[in-house]
Amino acid sequence: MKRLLYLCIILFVLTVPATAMEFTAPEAPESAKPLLPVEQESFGRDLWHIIKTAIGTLEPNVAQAAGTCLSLIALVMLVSVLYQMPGKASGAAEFAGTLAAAGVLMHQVYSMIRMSSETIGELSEYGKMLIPVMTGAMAAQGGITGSAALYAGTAIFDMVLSSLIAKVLVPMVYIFLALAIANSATGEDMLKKLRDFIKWLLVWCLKIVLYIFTGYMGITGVVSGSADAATLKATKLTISGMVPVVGGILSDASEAVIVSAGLMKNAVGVYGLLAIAAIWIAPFLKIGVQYLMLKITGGICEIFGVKRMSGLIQAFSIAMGLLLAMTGAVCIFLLISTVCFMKGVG
Amino acid sequence: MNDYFKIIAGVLITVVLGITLDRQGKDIALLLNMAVCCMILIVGAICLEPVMAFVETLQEIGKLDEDLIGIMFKTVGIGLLGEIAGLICADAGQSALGKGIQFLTSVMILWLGIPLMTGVIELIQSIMGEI
Repeated sequence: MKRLLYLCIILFVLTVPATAMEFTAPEAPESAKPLLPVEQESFGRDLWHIIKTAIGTLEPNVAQAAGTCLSLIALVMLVSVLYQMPGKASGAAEFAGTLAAAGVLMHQVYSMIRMSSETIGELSEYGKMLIPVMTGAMAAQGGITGSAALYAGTAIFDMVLSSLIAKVLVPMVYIFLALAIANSATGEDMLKKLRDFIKWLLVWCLKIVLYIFTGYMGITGVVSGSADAATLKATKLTISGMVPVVGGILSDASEAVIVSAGLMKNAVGVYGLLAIAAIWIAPFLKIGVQYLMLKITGGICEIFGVKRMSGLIQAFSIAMGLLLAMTGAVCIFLLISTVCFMKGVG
Repeated sequence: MNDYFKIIAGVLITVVLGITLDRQGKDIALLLNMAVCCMILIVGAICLEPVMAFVETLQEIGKLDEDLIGIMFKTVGIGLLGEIAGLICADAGQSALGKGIQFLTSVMILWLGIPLMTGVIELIQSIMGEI
């Protein structure tokens, strides 16, 4: 009778549904999907696949950038015909040439700024989906304090950085460009100083946010990571000490659960890293191509001696550099966050 | 290239002739100067032809707006004519007229640049509107 009762209890326990904790990385946005490999291999190979595919999509962009640069060279060549004349006509022609070049460049830069803003938005949105999953996985691995601290930090910095870029830094890029056009058209030195100040302020803002963020991540990683490791160790010791006979087995089993949670977290993290790279790399390369092309064009135009126009082209290339810095900052921010979560406990 | 050397030689001869003719009467020297300047302009325009063709090629490859490049061509043409006319006036001792021509040239170029300025302002306004 007693045996039958035990059997019934065991059978009843077996009927209770039991599910394991599962953490899956959020799906990458549509724009990034074509760059991601169909099947994941090693991180290095997948990353190389993303880079290769992104480079493959660059061709129309390079052609467009080259076209713009040739147009600019044509304009500078025309103005340079007048440049050696002693009268004021060369100044007036340079003014007209500057406006024409500004018109050509503004279209290009505007589309780049929009693309950069969209990429930053996509990265931020993806981060908002990825970080909670990583937080859950890290908490399941035992890093309760660490995950909470990292999540809080990441959420706040994500909000600060994306708002700063959208509301302050992008308008500052427009102001920078407006000042650059005005400076090149009029030759007023004060405007150049103001333009350089805007650039300095923009770079400084980005640097400060990233310094504070990496500092915060470092401190929370060390402090809360050690606290979580100590808590885990204490819990394992308590289980093995408190429960007689099977305490050691339970402690080892909990270790296995923690390791599994860690593996899952790392898998999510690796996919997350690849997805972040896939979102970021194509726009970054496109802006990079524009940046390089404008730098080269600026250099070529300087040969013709039309300083104000070549200065304008250089200023637009600086603006492209600023866009690269902003997009790169958001990407680095997310990569660091994900790696911090992946680092785990202890 | 041959034309260039011919022109240089012609200009140097004109200078020597000018000095000689200056003692006899300034009018003939001035007329000679004007004639040589016109000649230089014509040769310059012929030499500029391949440059302009190259600029047009660049414009076609770069898909640059035809109106825009048209304005720039006019700007350069007006600028060159105005500058040379101003210098001839100055040579003839009519520096006031020369300055007047140069002023008019600058004004004309600015007037030609108005559509460009309007375009840039409209573009900035549309961007600001979207921000």
